[in-house]
Amino acid sequence: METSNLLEVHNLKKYFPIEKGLLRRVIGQVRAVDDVSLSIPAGKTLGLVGESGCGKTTLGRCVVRAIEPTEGQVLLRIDGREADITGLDAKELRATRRHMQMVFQDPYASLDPRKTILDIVGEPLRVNKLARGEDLEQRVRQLVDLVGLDVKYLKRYPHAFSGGQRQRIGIARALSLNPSLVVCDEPVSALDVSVQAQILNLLQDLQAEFSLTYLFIAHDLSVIQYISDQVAVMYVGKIVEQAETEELFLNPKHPYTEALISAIPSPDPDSLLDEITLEGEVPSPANPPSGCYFHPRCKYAQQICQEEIPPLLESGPGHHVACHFAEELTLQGVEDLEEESQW
Amino acid sequence: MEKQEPVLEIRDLHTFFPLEEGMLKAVNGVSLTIHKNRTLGVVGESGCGKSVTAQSILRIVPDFAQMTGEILLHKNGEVIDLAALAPSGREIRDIRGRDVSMIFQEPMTAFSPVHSVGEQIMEAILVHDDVPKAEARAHAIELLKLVGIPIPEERVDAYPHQLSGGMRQRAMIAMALVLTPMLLIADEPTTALDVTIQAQILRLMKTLQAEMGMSIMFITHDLGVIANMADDVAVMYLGRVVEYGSVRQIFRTPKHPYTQALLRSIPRTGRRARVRLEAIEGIVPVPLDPPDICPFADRCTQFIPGRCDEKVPDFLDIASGHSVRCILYE
Repeated sequence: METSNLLEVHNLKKYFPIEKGLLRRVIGQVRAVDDVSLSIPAGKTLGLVGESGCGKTTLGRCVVRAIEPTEGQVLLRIDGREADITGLDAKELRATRRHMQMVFQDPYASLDPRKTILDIVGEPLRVNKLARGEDLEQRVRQLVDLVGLDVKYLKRYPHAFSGGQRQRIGIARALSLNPSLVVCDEPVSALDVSVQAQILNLLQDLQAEFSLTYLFIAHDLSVIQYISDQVAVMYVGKIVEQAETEELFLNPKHPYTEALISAIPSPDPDSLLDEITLEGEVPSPANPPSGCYFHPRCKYAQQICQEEIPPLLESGPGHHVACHFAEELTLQGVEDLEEESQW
Repeated sequence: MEKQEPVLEIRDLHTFFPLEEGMLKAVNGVSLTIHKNRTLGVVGESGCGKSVTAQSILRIVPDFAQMTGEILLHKNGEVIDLAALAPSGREIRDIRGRDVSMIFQEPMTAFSPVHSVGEQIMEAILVHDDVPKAEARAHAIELLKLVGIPIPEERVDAYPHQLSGGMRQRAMIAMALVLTPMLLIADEPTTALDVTIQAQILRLMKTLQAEMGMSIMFITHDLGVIANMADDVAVMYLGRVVEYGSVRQIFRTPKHPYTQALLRSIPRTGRRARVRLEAIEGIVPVPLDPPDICPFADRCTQFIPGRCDEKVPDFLDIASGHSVRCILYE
């Protein structure tokens, strides 16, 4: 494990069996995560972007072992030493969990409606026997204040809060154990536009204050570009491109990344949707196409793309791409932002 | 500029829901005009009243709602006030689907799960027109082809659950277009879709609009989608329209502090995308017994005590086709 990295994932796979009949014979595999490797430097944010069903959520859950990966290795640096998360037994895993926490998409479903904010945010502290009584309440007060909520709401229940406030509660809970890694799974996609920015700014402030490392999962490319230092693009269980954020958006090298970027509707009436409309739909990970999984939708596809799966190779400093023609193609990235508006 | 003919005019619409906790003023004095062959984008956050406005047009709000105001549909030289019709009477039922139809965010709620897509499209044809079944089926296949569903001769017999989200959305559009309505109301039609599929559906809607010559009321929270789809834009907040203008006026010279703040708060892609976002502080309010003051008063950075909380600002014309509800312009 490289010393600057907080997290390294090596050849991670998660296959779900497809069972049939009374005897539950396994007749196939859904390759939700298919041989993914990535790393995140300490204190940085890796954005993981892809369309529904691409495996990004499954990957995030495998990293914290909320679900068991089929194969592969997850390494986390804890207090300067590396821990092999995938090799831990149940007891060790429980002890290690405090270093890696999750923030979920749905702030309505992820908070227990029968518990007060004090109970919800304090639960990890109590379960891990880190604080109780006065001390616990004091810690919760600090956390609640930290995420920008009024401490007088401590005894209220989740239903009394708006979506954005609930997401703040979820963040406070995730931070209660001073984790080093936070896996954020679509943390702003259920929120109203005006509240999204509040939560994104909060996540950035907390990162700066506590040198948190984020694995930030989202489908919204503008959110991903805003929050991430590096971006990995996933398609049908595989990472097809990974690079520094600006490099990826300005010089995409995978046709799928190019198409994703061109499909973002820009809030500018003079920039019409680009011509690179992708035909067809995302294939099922239970029955992916031959060769490069993207070839049926790729306008640059050649014979080899139907036959061979392209490996993820470095095509420039820190820029990895899985495309047979990465070196030949010249693809279109984002247009430059116009100058600041007058108003 | 082409001559603008109104298709639908909403005048001072109020749709209130009396609840135990108080009066939910979902739509609180909305006036809007939708023009022929144009797209009106209605943008706003949850609880701003955009969906209830649409439901009021088709009279599909719950029975206990209290509705006042006028909804004038211009149909072949005639003007019909939809707000005055009986909510389940023959007249409004004739208008639904034939003159005005609607598509939703989640197509599964619009389709019956136990009938094939083709049967449901055929039913829409047969309810309004007396044609032989074979002809209705041929028309259904034609519509599925029009909305870009591959192998429509086979898909016509598919059940909704057998189609992907994008294909279901296409099928719903086909069903809405059965009788070539003059107004299509689209309530967050692409919100549940992936971005590449969203691009396909948006393009399809534009093509169909050009081919069929219909007006669209496009409701969404997504400013990017609005910028790409709308000719005119209404920005709603807490049951009221706070700004109305052409899409260029709204995005290039927004006047209302809420519109301005909203445009500043969204992340954009581009070279300097990582500058800090200007968030709008506070929470999105619920229109439960709202006071008669500026709806945005408590979150506005330009709030003036004694003026903004004195009355609801008037809706003022500040340029040709551009109106704003803010005392800064009074």
